[in-house]
Amino acid sequence: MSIIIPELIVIGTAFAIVLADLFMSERTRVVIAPLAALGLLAAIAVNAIHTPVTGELLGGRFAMDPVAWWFKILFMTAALFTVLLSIDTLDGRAGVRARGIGFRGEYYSTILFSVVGMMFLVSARDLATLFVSLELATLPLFVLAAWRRDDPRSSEAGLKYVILGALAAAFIVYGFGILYGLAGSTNLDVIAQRLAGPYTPAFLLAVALVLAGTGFKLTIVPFHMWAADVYQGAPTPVTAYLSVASKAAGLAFAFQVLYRLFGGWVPHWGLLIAVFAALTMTLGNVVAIVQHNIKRFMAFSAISQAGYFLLGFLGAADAGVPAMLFYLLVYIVSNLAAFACIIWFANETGKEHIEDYRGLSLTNPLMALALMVALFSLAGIPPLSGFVGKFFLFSIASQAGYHWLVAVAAVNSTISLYYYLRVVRQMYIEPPADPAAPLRASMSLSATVAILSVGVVTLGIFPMVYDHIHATTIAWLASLAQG
Amino acid sequence: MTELLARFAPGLQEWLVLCAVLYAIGLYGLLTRRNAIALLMAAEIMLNAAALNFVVLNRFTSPQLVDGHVMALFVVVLAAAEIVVGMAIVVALYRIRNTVDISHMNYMKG
Amino acid sequence: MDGASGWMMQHAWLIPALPLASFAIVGLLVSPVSKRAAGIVATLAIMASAACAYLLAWEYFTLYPPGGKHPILVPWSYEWLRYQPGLSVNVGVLVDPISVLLLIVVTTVSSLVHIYSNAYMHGDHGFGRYFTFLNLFTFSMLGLVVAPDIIQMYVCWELVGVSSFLLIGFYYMKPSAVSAAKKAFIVTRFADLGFLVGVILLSYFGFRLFPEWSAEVGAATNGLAGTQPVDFAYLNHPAFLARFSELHVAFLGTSMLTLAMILVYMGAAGKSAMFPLHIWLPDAMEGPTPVSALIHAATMVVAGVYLVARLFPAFAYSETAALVVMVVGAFTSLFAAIIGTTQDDIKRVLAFSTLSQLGYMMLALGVCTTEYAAGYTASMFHLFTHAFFKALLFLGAGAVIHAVHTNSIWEMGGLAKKMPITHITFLIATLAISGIWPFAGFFSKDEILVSALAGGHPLVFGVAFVVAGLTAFYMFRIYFVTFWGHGRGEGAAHAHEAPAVMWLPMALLAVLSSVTGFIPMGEFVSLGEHEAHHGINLAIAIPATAVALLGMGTAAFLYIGDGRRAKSAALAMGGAYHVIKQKFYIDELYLFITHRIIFHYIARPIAWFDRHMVDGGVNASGWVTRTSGRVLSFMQTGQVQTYGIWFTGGVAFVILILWCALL
Repeated sequence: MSIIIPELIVIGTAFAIVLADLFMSERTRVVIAPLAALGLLAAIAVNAIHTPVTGELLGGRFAMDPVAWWFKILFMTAALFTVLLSIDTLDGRAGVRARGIGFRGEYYSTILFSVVGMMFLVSARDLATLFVSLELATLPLFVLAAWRRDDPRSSEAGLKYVILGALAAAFIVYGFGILYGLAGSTNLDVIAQRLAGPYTPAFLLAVALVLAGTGFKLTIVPFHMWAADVYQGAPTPVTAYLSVASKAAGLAFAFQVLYRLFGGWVPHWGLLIAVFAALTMTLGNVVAIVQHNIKRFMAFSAISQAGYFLLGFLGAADAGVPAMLFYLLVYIVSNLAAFACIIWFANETGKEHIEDYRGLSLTNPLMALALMVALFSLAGIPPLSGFVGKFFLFSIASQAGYHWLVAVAAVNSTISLYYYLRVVRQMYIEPPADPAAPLRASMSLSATVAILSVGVVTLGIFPMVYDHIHATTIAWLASLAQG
Repeated sequence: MTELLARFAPGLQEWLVLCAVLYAIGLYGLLTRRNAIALLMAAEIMLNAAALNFVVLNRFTSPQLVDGHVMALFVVVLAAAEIVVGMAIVVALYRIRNTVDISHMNYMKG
Repeated sequence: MDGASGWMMQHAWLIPALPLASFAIVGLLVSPVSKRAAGIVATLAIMASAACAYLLAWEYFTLYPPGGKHPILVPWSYEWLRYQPGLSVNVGVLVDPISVLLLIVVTTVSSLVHIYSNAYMHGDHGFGRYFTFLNLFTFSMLGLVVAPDIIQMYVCWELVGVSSFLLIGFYYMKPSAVSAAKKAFIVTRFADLGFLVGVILLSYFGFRLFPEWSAEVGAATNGLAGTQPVDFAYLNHPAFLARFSELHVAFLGTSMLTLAMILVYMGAAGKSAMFPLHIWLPDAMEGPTPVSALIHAATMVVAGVYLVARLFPAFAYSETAALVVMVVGAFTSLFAAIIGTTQDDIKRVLAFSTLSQLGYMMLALGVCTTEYAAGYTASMFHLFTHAFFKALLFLGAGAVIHAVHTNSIWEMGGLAKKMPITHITFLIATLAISGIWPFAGFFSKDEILVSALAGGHPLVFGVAFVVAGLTAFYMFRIYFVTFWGHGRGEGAAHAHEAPAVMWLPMALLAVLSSVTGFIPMGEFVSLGEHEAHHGINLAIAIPATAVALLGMGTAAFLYIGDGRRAKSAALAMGGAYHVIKQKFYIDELYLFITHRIIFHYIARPIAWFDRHMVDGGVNASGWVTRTSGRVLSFMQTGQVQTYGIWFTGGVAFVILILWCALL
């Protein structure tokens, strides 16, 4: 029972928020965000300290394992920081108030429901729980993307997301149907066992459909196209959440599919994965160069990062899994640090063009520094954490014999440097546009930026984190072999 | 009469073809219609085709169990939830833009 | 590793740690409070680090006296990242003759530049920021020098690049400085790509061959047991090299070792600005002059040379890689020297001269083999002496620029009287770089020439010989134009001597440039048992000095004084008038040949090619990327159904691949 406590805490917090919201006056609703943050913090603490790293519930349909443990920590951390970053926007404590945003009770509970979906997703051992939790993780995101009801862009983003999301869900569930028909069971491990054998056309169709759905969540080219529009249109804190938590959920789903469901075949699909990795990072990078809107720019940056993640699936699982998990951690921290600055800037100025960041280093040197460090980490400049993460992934591809892919990835990381430098140039090199007055930053936001920046710098330097991930995932692989 | 019907009772293959055809109709609708509500209906058709797929496969591969039926129920519920969210967004969009033509929804591109 | 006995050996990590600590303290605490204190704290930290470096050198050479065998020690290391069982990446300190040599160079030049900068940057509004960056740079450079494995080196390598980027773009209000900073960063990052792929190849195959090798060589590891597959000690081991070179790359028809080494060399060439990756260095002169002295003359740019030297056994094992090093070095050396003769900006002349001298060091490494390793010693020797005299030249140029507020040599002139100390020190450095006895450059250059000829590369020797003459020519050209004759510009008329804080470091460097040549480098830095070249080979030294004097004479002939002065001299001399007049004809002829023919038909086209073709190539690749970005972004039509079609097409594509590949 104890393995499900973190989920229960998060659900409980979500319902408590919905209920409390009913009886609260608008003024007292400021306590909702701290409540959500506390709930998440408690769940993280319980997960980290109390929850055993193995165990199962509900007849094996819900199981805990070390990789799920890590994923849950990451999901909840991402959500926690998203909550912290949303406070200013939602409470209207911004220099330029965004219209049509509010409904704090609904907003925070929606985020929490989405997190619960992700947490169930990574613990699912059955097609039904897997699909339901996937939808539970995704549906709130549609709502969040369309949160600003009177902003046509936000609604447009929501509509595009919901239509393509439904399409992806339909592909996934049809693929699941075929798998169920072939195996006669909905248990993931049982399906994996019964499907072993020669390929059949039906099986390949199912694989293609499920992989496409995975690609949708992970923003793999050509299933990525929703990302740019949705990221741009959604409220900025939601964009931050989409770029980290949704991607983490995508990776969790990919783990479920590629390691648990198709574990036996994935080693033969190296070329397919390599082609998609190369396409994704190249397209994401190249298109990012010509972007002007910083959220759209970050969307393409996130797409190209998804390509790097795929490198991890090329190698042996004992190297690939820890490398991907570590890079996910690094990516979450770096991307959130970058988004924290972007959210702050959008709150204070209402602007989201790259050119608007002119001269930021003169008016707000610390924020500019934080954004630069975060972007450099995403670009993979050593010794920032992004470099270490990328190095592990690159060497996995190299060990698997995909030297051409490493070359493509390395060229791409140089291209990415070019466009990340575009932002840095605006901040550090262009003179400020108007009389330079420092923009103010709230305590909660400054603290969040500081914590994240420290993470960006230190994750790469202190080896304990990677060591721990590596050690725990070995146990997971052993459990996979049993199942 | 019943005998005649029993002789032409559709088997697994026929049912699967039906699902696939339904699915394809939904996909075609989703990719070609211009009305956002029609798009949501098309998505609903696709999801329901997939649900039907589960029911059919349950009936023919493991009739003693109910896994597929349960899955189909979940899919129907989730499809409904998906459409509810979609409709809410369409309504919000209609209030601002006075149109539900999906081809006009291209403020963001490039 | 029992040799690590001295106190300094045990605490060698202090050398890079002091600047790091000072970077953090100055950047976060001191700089916001007091700019002045920031400069002082930063300078003191570097001086302390320099003291540690001297102590370390003293301990090392007491333990292993000159002339004997010099083992590679790793007295301190700490596990950083455990990657796979059996493979972890360590941070540590490696002590051997060349790292000690580089430590001394870096800390000495860095201390002097720090001192100098306290006056040079005085009143600049980024004073605190400047010292913070300078400390960061020094830390990264020291970390690079003491790296015991290729990963630490790569990390510091990139950090050095970042701090160089920050310092080149220091005057961020100047668009040219900004574009130069970006160019430097992107060009070197592009080169680092090769390095990174090379590192990955080396560490991967290192790891794959590791178990076999450690079992095989086992006992005979010279106390190298416990090395990691990425450690230099491992990468340079003959057993590893032999195995590695047996692996062949099918599509290139070369061995894996050669491929990896050439990729690594690409990184080295980027940092050391070898043709055609040299384009960033002349532009990098947009940074503050002390930065040019420290980073773009004495330390960072020699990182590439150091890397090649560090991996020398591996380069020597692969003949092709060594050949590439030699040819590129020789070509860059000649190419840059020719361009150097046409430049009018004093810092650009020095930049091209740096390129040329770096080419010299590279070619010296390229010509030597494991059997005849004199070039290795020569290259390190030249690196050592060059650091001092080139830093001095830059600091001198900085003092001049500080005084006259222009970079163009044609607006200077007549500064010898107004700035006597700068003049003398600059002259010493000029003599040193030209290779005139008894200044430092003479000895190191002589060794390079000897090693090229004795190594069996007469053509390379020829190139080096010509370059020696050209070097003397262009250096004395700027010397005469800047310090002799009359002040030509407004600034030159009002120039005055630099303050003591600036000329003291210059004087010290002048002393070093004069005496370091007498150090018997072969006794300190040599490969294994091989007797390095001792003493001066007169058969080479005399022609080399002659060609340097020829270059110097030509410069004197062309650039001392101007027409008016020649006329007044003629009148005063009376009887000698005809002779002087005839000489004047010869002067015309000389001018015709050098300016009209050599400049016009050789040097100018080369400079043009450099600016338009090589640079253009870099710009073109940027253009191609941007354009493809623009084209690809049209895919993103904003129509949700287009996205749906791509999505469905993607599924079809997956099915197709799976179908073709698997069924």
